[in-house]
Amino acid sequence: MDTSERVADIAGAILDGTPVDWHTAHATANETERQLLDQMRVLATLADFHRNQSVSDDVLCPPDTWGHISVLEAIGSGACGDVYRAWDTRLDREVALKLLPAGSDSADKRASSIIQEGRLLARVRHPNVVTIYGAERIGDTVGLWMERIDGETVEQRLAHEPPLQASTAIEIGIQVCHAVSAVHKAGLLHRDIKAQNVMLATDGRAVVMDFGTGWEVGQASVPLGSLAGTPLYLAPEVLRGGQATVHSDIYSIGVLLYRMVTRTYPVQGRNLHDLRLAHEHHERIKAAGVPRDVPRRLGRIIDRAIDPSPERRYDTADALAAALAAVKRQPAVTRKYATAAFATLLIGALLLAGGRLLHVLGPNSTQAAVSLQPGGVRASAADVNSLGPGQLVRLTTSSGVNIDPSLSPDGSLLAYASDRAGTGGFDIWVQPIAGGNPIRITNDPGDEIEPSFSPDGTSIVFCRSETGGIYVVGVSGGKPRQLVGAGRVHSPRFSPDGRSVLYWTGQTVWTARFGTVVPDAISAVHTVRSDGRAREFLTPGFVSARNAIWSPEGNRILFLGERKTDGSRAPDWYVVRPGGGDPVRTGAVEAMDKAGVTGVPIPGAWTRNGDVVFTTATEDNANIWQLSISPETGRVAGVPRRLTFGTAVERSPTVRSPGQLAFSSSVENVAVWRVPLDQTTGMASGGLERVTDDGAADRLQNVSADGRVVAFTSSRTKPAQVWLKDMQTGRERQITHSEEHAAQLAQMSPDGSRVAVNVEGRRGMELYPSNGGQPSTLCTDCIVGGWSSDGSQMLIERGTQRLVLEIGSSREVPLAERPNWYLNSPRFSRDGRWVVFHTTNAPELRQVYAVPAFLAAAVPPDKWVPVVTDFGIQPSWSPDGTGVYHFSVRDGFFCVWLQPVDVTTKRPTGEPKAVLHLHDARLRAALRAMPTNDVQGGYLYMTLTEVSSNIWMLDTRGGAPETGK
Amino acid sequence: MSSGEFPNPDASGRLDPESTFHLLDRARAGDQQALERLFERNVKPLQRWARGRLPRWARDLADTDDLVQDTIVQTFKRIDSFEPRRVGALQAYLRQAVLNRIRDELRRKGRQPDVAELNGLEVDRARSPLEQAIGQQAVEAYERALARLTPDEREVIIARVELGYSYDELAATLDKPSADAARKAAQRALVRLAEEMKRGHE
Repeated sequence: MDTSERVADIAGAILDGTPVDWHTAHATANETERQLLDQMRVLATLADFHRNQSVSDDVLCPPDTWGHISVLEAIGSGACGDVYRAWDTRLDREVALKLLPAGSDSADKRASSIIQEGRLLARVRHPNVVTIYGAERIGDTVGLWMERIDGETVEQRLAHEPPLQASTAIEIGIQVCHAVSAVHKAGLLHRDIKAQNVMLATDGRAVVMDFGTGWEVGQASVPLGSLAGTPLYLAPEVLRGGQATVHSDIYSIGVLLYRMVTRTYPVQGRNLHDLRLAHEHHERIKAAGVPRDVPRRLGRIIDRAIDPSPERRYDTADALAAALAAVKRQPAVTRKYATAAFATLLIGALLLAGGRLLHVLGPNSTQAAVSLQPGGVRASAADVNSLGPGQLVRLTTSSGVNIDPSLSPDGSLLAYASDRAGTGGFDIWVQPIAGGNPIRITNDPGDEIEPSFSPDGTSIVFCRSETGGIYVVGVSGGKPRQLVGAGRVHSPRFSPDGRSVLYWTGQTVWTARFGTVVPDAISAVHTVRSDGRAREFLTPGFVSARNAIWSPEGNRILFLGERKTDGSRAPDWYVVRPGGGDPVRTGAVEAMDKAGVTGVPIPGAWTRNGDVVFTTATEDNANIWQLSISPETGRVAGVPRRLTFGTAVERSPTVRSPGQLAFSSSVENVAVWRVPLDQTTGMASGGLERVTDDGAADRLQNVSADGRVVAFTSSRTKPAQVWLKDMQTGRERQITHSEEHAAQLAQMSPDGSRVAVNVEGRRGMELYPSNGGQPSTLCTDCIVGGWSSDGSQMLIERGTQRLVLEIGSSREVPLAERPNWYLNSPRFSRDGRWVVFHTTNAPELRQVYAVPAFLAAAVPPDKWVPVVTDFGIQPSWSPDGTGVYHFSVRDGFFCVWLQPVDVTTKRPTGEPKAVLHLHDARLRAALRAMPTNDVQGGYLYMTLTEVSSNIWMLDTRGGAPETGK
Repeated sequence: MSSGEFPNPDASGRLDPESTFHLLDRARAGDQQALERLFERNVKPLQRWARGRLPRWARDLADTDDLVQDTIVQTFKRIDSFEPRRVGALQAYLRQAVLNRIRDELRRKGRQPDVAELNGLEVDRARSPLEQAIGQQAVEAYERALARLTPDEREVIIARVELGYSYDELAATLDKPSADAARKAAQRALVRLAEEMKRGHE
């Protein structure tokens, strides 16, 4: 193509408003042509400017209704703004509706790209990203409707309180990073991060809004008259006409941070021309050099994020978030827990000029671009019945916890567990899938969870609380009928012929450990006849057996089982006949290993075409996959295929034919919390406080004797490593640094000087000095327990034995042992004379015992002192030795209790007392993490999980990409 | 719903009786409908254009849209005295009328813009949004180059780039046989414009 043709083509593109590849054009031009191209660039800018004038300023006066949405009022300035407070009449909820004109020929392309990208964006489900519900064109208007956010933008905040505290800016920055990371992981770019596009919601979230500004970065580096702030956030390479990348988004986050703490910009100019020159002349004011009180480490992080060279910036938004989290200086504890943490969203989504929303990551991106499904996204529940392949729709809209979806056999109803009644606990709710109000069908004060429809669609089987058994209730409510008595039971499901119900009992949290096999100890699978009479135990000899599902014909049952405990991949899926028999190992886990699928695969449903849909988790998220298993042979027949790509925790997949999948998508934050204890009564004497505060999963290990240092494992590094937090300075320090192995369990010595660590996939314990330095191996084939107060001894688990280990001489002294019992979480009393631990010997039973350590000899089981015999785990001594704190489900929830004991004999003296109730579905113990606890320095420390969750539906036919990593 | 389900009613190309030239004829002969059609065709693009060209502080003075609308109405009152010497003249005429009206308005108010701090976020009140976007020098270079084009070239650029006419509207306004022909004319004019700007730059 000769020059004049190329120039004419570019002129055509400028006039049409389609992208121009300036990069290539420049690269292939000679000097004279380049000068012409420069002028073309100016004209492209000018053309885009006018085009965007038309989009942003051609406001539409509010129509009364737009499709199924009634418009209530304009948000922002003027009666004819383009964002409205509106009501979605299909789903009966308030939304923000953004309307853009479409119609003329060139705008047509824009219209379809806005719709397309709106639908892509609807795939991103993250609390820090505004939720787009749908995008559609009606007549000559394009509309996007989305979650309403109540709050103000960062820019508005800056207007009345300039500049922000470093800690506030860091917190906002971390949340923005999480949002942008979610966008990137979905294969998209934001491209317009700025203070005007980040809402500070009244519920405490920072929410990233308004994706893109309707101008093509590759086409013309255009600021808009109406968006004068934008170019100041643009990375220099983008200003030069280069492609937007993950790195340019990170640059913009850096400028946002810079602006929040300094109220200025690193590179300034009066117009685009000046700004370009300023970049070219490296007129950059380093954040570390701004004469304001910017902490030096924060300054350095910002300066790296806004480095002129993209490759010197952080590689991912997660990396930037981790850097910010590490620098976060906080007083010992800053944030009090607010019950509204996940509550009220909504109101006033202030969106600026619209247009293009998002861009699929280009090939130059540092992250692998996810291949997007062709069907796009629909976000209106009314469209469920016409869902096309690859389309995704959100079925529940509450801001709370909606989990455990089940679809009625005819596909018309959704049943799920939800805390939307506001009682704190879960009830079963049923709603028409095509839209309509959910109906609450259970109202017990405890939890009712895990509903599942009967094959005729008339009744629902569900579990009650942690201890409440299995019940059946009619789809429109009524008095539930008990099917299985009290006990820790899970996942009841009717057989396809409706004659029996499959369920499992035991621990939800995986606790099998390497070493010795204890059959029937952790979990087990059963069936019961629908009349409640005959029960059948299907998995004798398994250490654990759980998450059982029926084959489509009902002639096989598939479950996740473990027969021996020789490593992390010992569990597999097994297939057994409903009448019993020897379960067949499917080899599914091996097939997943080959395909690079990590995590423990939890089966959810077995479809008619032989696919088992399942969920499998990494450290911070979980996705839905499928793998074909032949019901006849019970063997793997294919390769795993990934179905969802969300960044949240997606689990509980359930299927309605053909290929329509419902699942829950939760945002879960596992963190260390504490509550002050009354010195006399030992009861909680104040509110819960958060101790660790970042997006990663932080799990408490223990606390130093003076209460000053908290040891925890955290997934802020991948894989998870051990960290220490100084409660006085707020400083957090990483202790282990493996890039291959996750730290699983750790115990810090009482003086805080050393940390004993078990590492995933390695059988043994290593001792790390807290001030850095090389670890030494403490023992092989052992699991870390508690330290003695003087730091001279340590408890370890080895097989089914309990041993005291002398630290100095490495001499091992047996302490307790019982065949076919696991003895877990041993802890020394303050005086070193007693040890308390919990046992795992039957799926529904966990007990706490104390044994004397001063005998320095093995204590036979009949001499163990029973401290908690109904249900107790994770014991820890009260400081004076007159009580044992533990978690128990005795009131139906995982709560903290104190069992008073005699100071000398450690025998229980009276009833256990509830120290802290954790009944709120949005903040619980023992959801994904073992509910570890420790009492030091007047506080009870524990691991808790904050949750919000909604239910989504996906059409899996055809559109899903082939498996990958 | 895809955009493909919305065929552009004007996609067939030029619609003779609707061309500005003919509408003007009819309007001058007293056809009220033709006058309304002309008004409809011109008011929105001009309002948009005026907003981009007016400094922010001046936009605060009066409602730009009202001002433009009023100007067009006043101009149309004298439509019978307007003799189009060439295609596209009406558009140029209206644009000039709007500019004059704005200048009058500014003079009448006699207000000087206060120059606000510009760190990009504060809107530069003294400059028009267009100047903020591409810089004052670039705007001036563009205007100079535009002046050196032929009237036809100038009008096609202004109609397409500044006023956002679709190619069909362009064809109707500038009396081109088809949308495609209008696009080609705009393409040639834009290349010419870039060459003129480059020359001015040298």
